[in-house]
Amino acid sequence: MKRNVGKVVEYLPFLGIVAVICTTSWLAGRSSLAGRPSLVRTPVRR
Amino acid sequence: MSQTDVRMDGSAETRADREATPGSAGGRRERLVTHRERADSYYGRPVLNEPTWKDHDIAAYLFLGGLAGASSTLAAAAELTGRPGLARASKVGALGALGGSLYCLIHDLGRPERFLNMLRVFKVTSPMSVGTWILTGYGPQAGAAAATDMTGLFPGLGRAATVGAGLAGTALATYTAALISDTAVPVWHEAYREMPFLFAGSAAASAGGLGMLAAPLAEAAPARRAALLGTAVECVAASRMERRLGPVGEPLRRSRLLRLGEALSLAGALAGVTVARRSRVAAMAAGAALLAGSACTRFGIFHAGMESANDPKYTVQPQRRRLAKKRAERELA
Amino acid sequence: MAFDLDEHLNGNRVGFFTDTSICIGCKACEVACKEWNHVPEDGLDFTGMSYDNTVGLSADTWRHVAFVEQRTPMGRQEPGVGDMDFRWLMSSDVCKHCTHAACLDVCPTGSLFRTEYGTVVVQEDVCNGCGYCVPACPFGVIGKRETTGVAAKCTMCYDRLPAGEEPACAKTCPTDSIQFGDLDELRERADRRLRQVQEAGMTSARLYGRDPDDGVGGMGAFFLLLDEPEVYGLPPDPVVTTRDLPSMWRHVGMAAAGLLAGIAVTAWRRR
Repeated sequence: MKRNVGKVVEYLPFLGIVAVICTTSWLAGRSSLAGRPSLVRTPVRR
Repeated sequence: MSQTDVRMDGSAETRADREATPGSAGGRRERLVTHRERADSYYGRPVLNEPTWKDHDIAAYLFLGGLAGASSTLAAAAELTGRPGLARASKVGALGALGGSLYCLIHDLGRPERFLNMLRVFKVTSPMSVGTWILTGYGPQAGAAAATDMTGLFPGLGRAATVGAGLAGTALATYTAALISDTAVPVWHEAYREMPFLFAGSAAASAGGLGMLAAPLAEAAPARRAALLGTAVECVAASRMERRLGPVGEPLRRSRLLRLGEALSLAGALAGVTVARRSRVAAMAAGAALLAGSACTRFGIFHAGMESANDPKYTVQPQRRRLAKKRAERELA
Repeated sequence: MAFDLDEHLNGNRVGFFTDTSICIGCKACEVACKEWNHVPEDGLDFTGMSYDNTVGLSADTWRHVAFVEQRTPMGRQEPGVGDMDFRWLMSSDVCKHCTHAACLDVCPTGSLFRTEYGTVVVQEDVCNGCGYCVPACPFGVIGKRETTGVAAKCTMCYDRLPAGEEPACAKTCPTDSIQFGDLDELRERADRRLRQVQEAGMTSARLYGRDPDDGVGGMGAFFLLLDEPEVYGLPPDPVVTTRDLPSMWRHVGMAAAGLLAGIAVTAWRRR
């Protein structure tokens, strides 16, 4: 049991890094929409 | 230079102990020589020493380096085609992945405080040395690209850094294939022809996934197409690799992580070009699946290599076949 | 591989010739090596692998004596264990100090270097413990030492050579199974010895690593073996991994160009 916990802990930095990347990237993608509300909800359809 | 010589009297005629001939004397009773099975190894011990690399550092780095590099390339393409939202999301993602890469690389060193020692030489024979210099060239540009985009300062410099990081990013995303192939680990070494394409495909798929996850729907078309193209290349390269390697490819064909990676990537890529074009939630789910799929692929490749290093048959049997082939060719000639 | 190490060193290249046919498995080489080089203790385990409890070469084992037990006759010897043929093969393994050394090629810090004697040595104060040399070695020789975090392997007693002393293992070997000297001279000696052993009835005897045309360009430490190399835990046809590196870089270049072109194409269309 303890060994399994230790193994999971080893992967936490990696999972944390991926979570941080996704969050910051998502926030950056959202921030680019500021001032262009037409893009926020519905995609442009042609 | 002194040399080994056990003769005490210095006489050349005296037969030295080292001239003893084993098995030359004695009265062996005649016995039937029973059929001998050819030993494959020494007590089943691996021939190679197990790589000291840990999957949560090096397999993670293979993934993060690919994500960073391909994201920068995607960001440059998005910026040059007038998609600022996708460009910004990809630049910020690339910078984060670069930070993660550096953390993993330095964390894996036995003496992390000496990581700068890698900048004392440039060796084209060492993919790790080449990679260090690729990171040194890529890192500041990726940083500048993200920083100028977020702050709006120095747009000219930002444009140059974006393009520079986009070009250097292709090297960062693919050199890691040479990094692991340039070892004696049977699966990694033998797969060196397909590995760069597999890694390039996997990197494009993950960058596309991140773009889908983070960029506005209206701008994410390149990310969706990159994910689809990347996944296709990755799957083709992987199946070619598995077939061409023959018996050495066994650990690859057995790998459940690789199968899971392919399934996640395919699901994400197909969802990307269908439902994720309209729904933001579906796009985020497809992007996450693509990221997870790429990570599974890298971990799968890493573990298949470790498995082949730890079993002597993957080292010994191909070499025996190579020797037999050489002998046969010599006899024909 | 136009670089000819033997020519470059002007005949100054030294090496080991390990004649396993006269190895008695006393392990004096292992002990002498540990003592002289201050190689730390690395586990006192009972493996059950004949008399071998050191298992293999690693960061903390620079000489390793292998014990192979076979139900095979040893020439005309009567083993005296009932109605059974039996022989014991013993062999003292060591770093091969390859002409084309993969560990040296891939080292990203330049910590591994080629000495003026043609040997390959780790500079402990430069190594940052990246571990690349470990999977690069086709013989499984070099390792990363847990206690210091840096790579370690046989130096062929680099510190003894300038004083005109032979390496500790060769000095202590009581049967001269480990012979140290000028590599060219050792190769001639090995050829003579091989003929002698084969004429005495051991037709399975062979030299391993003597041939400068093999996959690692010939080994600075080579062996006379009485059976296939894999029986002793040695790879039968080792090849320096960097031999394929030019092709690897070409494939990487193609993949990088493909990645650039692919992403450019995906962004080309407006929608």
